[in-house]
Amino acid sequence: MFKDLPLKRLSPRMEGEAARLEDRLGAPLLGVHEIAPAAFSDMPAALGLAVGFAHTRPQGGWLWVRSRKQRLDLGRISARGLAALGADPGRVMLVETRTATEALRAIDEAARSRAIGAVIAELDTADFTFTRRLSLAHETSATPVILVRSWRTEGATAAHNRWRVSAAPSAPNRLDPRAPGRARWQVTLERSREFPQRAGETFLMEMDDAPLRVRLVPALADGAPETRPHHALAG
Amino acid sequence: MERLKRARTTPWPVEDGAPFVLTETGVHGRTLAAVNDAARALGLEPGLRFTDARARVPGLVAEEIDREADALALKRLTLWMTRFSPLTAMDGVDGIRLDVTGCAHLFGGEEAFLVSMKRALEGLGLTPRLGLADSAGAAWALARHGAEPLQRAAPGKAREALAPLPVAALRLEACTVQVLRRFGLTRIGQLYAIERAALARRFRNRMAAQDVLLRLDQALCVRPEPLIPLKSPARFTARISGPEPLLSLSGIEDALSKLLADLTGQLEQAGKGARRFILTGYRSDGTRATVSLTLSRPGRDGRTIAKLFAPRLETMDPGFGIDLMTLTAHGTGPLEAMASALPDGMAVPGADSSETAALADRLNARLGDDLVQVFTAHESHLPDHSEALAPFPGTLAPWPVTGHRTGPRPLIVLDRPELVETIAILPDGPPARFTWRRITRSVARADGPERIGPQWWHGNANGVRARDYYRVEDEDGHRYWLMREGLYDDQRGGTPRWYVCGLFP
Repeated sequence: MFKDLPLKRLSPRMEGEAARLEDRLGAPLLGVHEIAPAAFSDMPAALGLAVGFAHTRPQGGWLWVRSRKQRLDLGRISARGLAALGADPGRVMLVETRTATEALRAIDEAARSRAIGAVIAELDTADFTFTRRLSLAHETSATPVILVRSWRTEGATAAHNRWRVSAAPSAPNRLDPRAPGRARWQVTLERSREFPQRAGETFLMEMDDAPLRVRLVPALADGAPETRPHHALAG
Repeated sequence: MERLKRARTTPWPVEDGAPFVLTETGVHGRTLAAVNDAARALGLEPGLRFTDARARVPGLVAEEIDREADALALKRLTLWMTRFSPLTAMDGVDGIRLDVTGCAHLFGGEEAFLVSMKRALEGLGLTPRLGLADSAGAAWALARHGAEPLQRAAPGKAREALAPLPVAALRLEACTVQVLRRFGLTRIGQLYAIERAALARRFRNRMAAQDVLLRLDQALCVRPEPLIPLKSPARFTARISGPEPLLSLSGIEDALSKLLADLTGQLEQAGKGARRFILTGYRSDGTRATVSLTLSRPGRDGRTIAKLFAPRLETMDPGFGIDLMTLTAHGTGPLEAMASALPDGMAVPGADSSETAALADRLNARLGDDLVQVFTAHESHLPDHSEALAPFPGTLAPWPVTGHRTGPRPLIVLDRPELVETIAILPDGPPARFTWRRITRSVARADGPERIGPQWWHGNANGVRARDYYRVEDEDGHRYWLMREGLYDDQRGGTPRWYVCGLFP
């Protein structure tokens, strides 16, 4: 239903560059992205992907917004854990708000600012109006916003892309086959204003250590296909 | 006593003009602590035993005095009196001292100053006695022992003004006063005529003699008596008073913008910025309303500060009306070099750290002080103690690179480790399956252990067990940070238990 809305407007910066989704993932992040885990247990994977996305921005701090409820539900964000992912914890400004409403205010304020490199926000509730507000703010500020939503998220959104993430068995560990390797995630592009024709495709992504970014796992690297049809997820 | 009269919700126990006293229970039993005018006229004085007083005045109505509430009210009033002078201090349990040097002319001369002060205090339902003189001692004497409730000694005339007052007005102890009276010295003026050495000789006690001389010298400005203010005044202060008490938010906003213009001008002249701004509204009923704002680095841009204040002004309750407002700047320091703003589109995000600080200020102003935090690193091999959160210090600094390498650390650390049930194949290996939050997970791959021993050098490590951390991955690809507390043969307790400590992305 939202496809009928004349909302396929991207910020001018986004249109010129990378026409291909694959190129886009390597370029500095722009736009408003929603990342939703497939289940509650996939929340760490969703946050990991968010860090990977934010890391494509070469400069500026990250504002990480979460509400107190999220800390109680899930746990603390660990600086050492961020460092282990290859990110610089010194870039992070963490805001833990008391209520979800305050979190919305903080995100709104940050999305308008040009001062920071990216906004990462853990947010259970964000309606169409709010995401629309963010994408409008992005048109002037060009500050990318990554909303990590709850697994219940569905329905329309004004974000540029919505990614659905679930954990996937990690890459083979060359040093010790019995140990987990690099983190991998199975990511579905659930909705997209940027690449509408590719919505529904599923990718296998992994964290690349140097230079750190999210990359698509090439086909046949270890038998895992690069893309699979969407229905494969159901199994 | 008047505080009690205003604070009471029950009807006043006596009619106007009837004697009423407040009592307190001390070592000598119940004694009078305060009396009203009617009681004083009947010869009752503070310090008298209550039984004696009741013998003199049958049917005397009395209540217990509440010293704590009195002291609190006096402190509040002392702070409120900063509207007349920035240097105010409490004097004893029932007085307030003000250093009004250079303040009186703002109110149209000393006489007018005293009158306006008296009127303000009467408006609060108090009956003040005011004294103004060159020295604190002389002013004290005039206020407490002067004939009029409002008395002023012109500059240089303290000596003449004090002469007719009783010696008790010199703030002497009761026994010293008694000794002086025995010599026939009842007026301060009589002391002037006696030679100092002769005066000292009359006392058996050297301390008492010195006390008399000290108090006399202080009253006559021979020896200094500095005032220690209740709150030291800010160097940068702006004040504004309106003809009508402010009641509305828009009025407060107007006043703030005028105050800011004044204060930022002062700061600019001094070439400084401030980190903390305190806006104080003096309500007409003798109370104060305060809002403060903390910046992450010194600043003096009036428009920004006004914007940051805006969400907090709503919390400022004008009460019955605010008739005076002050804005003070604290934590002043040099401004950091201002980067000139690049034209639109050329600005590199994140290149300008002052913009980051401005964003943090806006968020803090909206959501509460010190809500924006950053990670700080600590040198500790214990995972729980190796990092912490601290308020945003004004700039983002790169994370320090530490020499020693640790094992993998999860992105999410649970608030407290959660106990899990496990099935392990080998006693020292990772579990084959574990049940966490009611779901049983089979371990497909595992990495570890990373053994973290107790901090034996702290001396309190007895009985603390070593911890083995494993990174495990289940069949679905979820990755966990498992911890086994203790070893199977360490003889420090029973069977080791397993916990989930964190989650890997």
